[in-house]
Amino acid sequence: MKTTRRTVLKSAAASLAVLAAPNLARSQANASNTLVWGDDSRSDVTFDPRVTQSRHEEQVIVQCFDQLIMSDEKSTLSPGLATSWQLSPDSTSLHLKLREGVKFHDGTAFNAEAVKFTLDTIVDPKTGSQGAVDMLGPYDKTEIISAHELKIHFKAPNAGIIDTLTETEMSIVSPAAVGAKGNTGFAQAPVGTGPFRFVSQEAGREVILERNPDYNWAPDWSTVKGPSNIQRIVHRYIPAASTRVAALEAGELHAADLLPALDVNRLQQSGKFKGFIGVAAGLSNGALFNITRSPFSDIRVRQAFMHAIDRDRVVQNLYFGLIKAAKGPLAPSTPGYWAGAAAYYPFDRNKANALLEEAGWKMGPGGIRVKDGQPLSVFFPSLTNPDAAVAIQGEAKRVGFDVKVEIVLKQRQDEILMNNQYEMAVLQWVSNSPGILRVPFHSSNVPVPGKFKFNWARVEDPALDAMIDKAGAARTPEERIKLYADLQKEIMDRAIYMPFQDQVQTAAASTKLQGLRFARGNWQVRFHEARIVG
Amino acid sequence: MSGSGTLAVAMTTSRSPTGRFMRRLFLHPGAMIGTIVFMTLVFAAIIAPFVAPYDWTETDVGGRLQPPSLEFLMGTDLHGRDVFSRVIAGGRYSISLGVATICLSLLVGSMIGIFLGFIGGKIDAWGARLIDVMLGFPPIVLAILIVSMLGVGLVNVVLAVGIANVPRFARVVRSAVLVLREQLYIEAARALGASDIRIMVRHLLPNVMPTLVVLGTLELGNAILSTATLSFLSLGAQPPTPEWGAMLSSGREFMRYAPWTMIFPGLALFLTVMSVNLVGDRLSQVLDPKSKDSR
Repeated sequence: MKTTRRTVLKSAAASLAVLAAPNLARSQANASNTLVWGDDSRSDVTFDPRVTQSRHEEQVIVQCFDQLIMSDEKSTLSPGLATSWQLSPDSTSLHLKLREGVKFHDGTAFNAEAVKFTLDTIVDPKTGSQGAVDMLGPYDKTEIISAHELKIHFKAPNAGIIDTLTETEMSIVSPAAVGAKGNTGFAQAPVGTGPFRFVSQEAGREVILERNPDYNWAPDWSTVKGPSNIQRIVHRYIPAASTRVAALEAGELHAADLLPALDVNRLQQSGKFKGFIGVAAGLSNGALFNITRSPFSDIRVRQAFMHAIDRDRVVQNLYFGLIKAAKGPLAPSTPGYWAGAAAYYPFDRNKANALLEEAGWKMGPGGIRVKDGQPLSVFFPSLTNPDAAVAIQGEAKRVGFDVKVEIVLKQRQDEILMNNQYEMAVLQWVSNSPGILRVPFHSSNVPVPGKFKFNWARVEDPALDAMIDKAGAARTPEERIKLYADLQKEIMDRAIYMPFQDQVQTAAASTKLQGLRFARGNWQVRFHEARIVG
Repeated sequence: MSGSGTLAVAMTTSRSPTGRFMRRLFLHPGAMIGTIVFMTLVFAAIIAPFVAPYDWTETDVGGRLQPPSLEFLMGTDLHGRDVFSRVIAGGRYSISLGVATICLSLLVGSMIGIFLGFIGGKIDAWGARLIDVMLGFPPIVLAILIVSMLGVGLVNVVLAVGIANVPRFARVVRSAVLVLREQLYIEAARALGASDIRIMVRHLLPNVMPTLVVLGTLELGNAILSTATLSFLSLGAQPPTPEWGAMLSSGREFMRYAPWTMIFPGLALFLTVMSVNLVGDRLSQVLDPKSKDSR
């Protein structure tokens, strides 16, 4: 009798558990050592660091992998999988000593073979690398000296290689795992040496990671030397920002990324959450002027446009003070940032008007300037941020620009850009290297039908190309900084790019979750040192 | 003397058929409220340039996200634009988009419907099946499909929603014509040697007109909502156009902090659709030959 009743109770409990299954995430958020993260991405495609170009995918990758040289968010370098490194005086080879006793999640040992395998496959076109291959630059070959010592050779000087090796894309992958699963299989079940190992994923819903119990090769700057306090990470995809906010407040998430500015302010004021704001390194969010089409073919019109927009005030208003106006093509947190760019094109409506008059654009009906019967009209397709486009439109109107904004989807944007049917477009890019300037300004990157590239200013000038190439091939770090400063100055002088706003990661976390740290570049959040209190 | 007096009394009681119709239509409380509300919104939209306190595209006329006050009756939006000015100007876009859409659907739908119903036979059978298939697609999905082919913009939204609604109109008109073409006066016209075109235009079209008017009015509310939906999805009106759907979309991020950026355009949209539907409902009662109210 008693037994029967107990059985009934048991099965009732079991069915309750089944009923509660959709609410699993809620209970997980309450479990003391499971961390639930809400990510704004909808569709991650690959978790192979050699292939990815997506900041969302890297949020997972950064937990599962280590780099040869590890950098914290302030660019403090520390030995990672390499214990020491020596760049040759001409910057054409790098001598590395590797850490011993490191194991991949699949149990195989980390050694010089793994490094050679990773680098060789990055440059192999079959891998389909989108980010890493450009970063690695003039890679030639890897020479194995012993099991834990090697030399990387370059075809040309590569003074930026030490910075490059800290990038998430340069993570070292397990050759055995790639061999067993193939590139496609590895992309869905990556194997690295990082503090967390990849367990499973449900496309479009969540990724599950688990603590690597063997981890004891943390970088010097890490406060946790051994395995993480966090046992399990549930990485949930929640594309709608308001849903992430609601889930955070309901206690279903410990932390979430990219929240609206007003919500971050409110969450912080509640005292239960802490805002986690990072200015991303790389290309600031800014507009590229298409210099192949009127009216922006005239430099005075481009200068006038920049003088016309009070970017400090507009950005302050749009983001309630949480985000600041950008001051140059590179974000200040990017190595090689040139502070001189801040002095360019301050808000000055009179100057804007004077420049337009000088360029022959006279005030016409409806407050729109006219020249030779043509209105001063520019087409501005906006993909990511319609509010910013509207603010720019309103400001530019005051000096006589008719900015035609169209809110576009990715496919339509690509079509417009490839077919040269626009006057301006906004670009941003998270990167830890000034070498990112090649992407929007080198003539080899002008988009053409069938080939989507990012030189949206459509500048094709051998002189500018030469500066980009020269900076990329600098022999010493000092020379590299100098050449990239010159390049930034040249870009500002040519008035082909209007810096608009910093790219800001507006994450927030429950005060119960402590020990979060941005990865280098201030976008992804590292969970190794995290712990859940209370 | 007395004769003309009798005549005058007879005239006031019977009135002309149109006058009687209008009276029966508008003396109904719902239809009357609907008409007044709709006319107010239309009138406000027409005189918007003169009554709007501010330029509705001008940014920074006030601070950002100011709550409603005497200065800004409906508050301001993120860009410091006056929501009141934008709402009354919004009618210029939202209402005329809806009306243009209905005109397009009516024109094309009735042409197809009259043609199929009159011609009969195999062409009609196939055409009717095709219409049934088209009706299987939700109109808004069809409209999104068409916009993605044509590109965004106000004209394309009218084309998209207009085309997407054609099958409904075609089907109703076709079934009305199926009944009408058996009438004696059509046979008589044919016996007199009238051409097909003449029969369709001179005899069928005027007789399906009441059906068209009712259907058009009933669908106008839907059309306004559909065009606003496309603008809400950024497929229609582009900034800074103060279209109600687009305003709802841009206000949605601040719903929690500045609800007036959503409430007032939403209210305008609601009142418009409701008033049009009230009139449409009454119209269908009055014009329905089977309704006892219609005598």
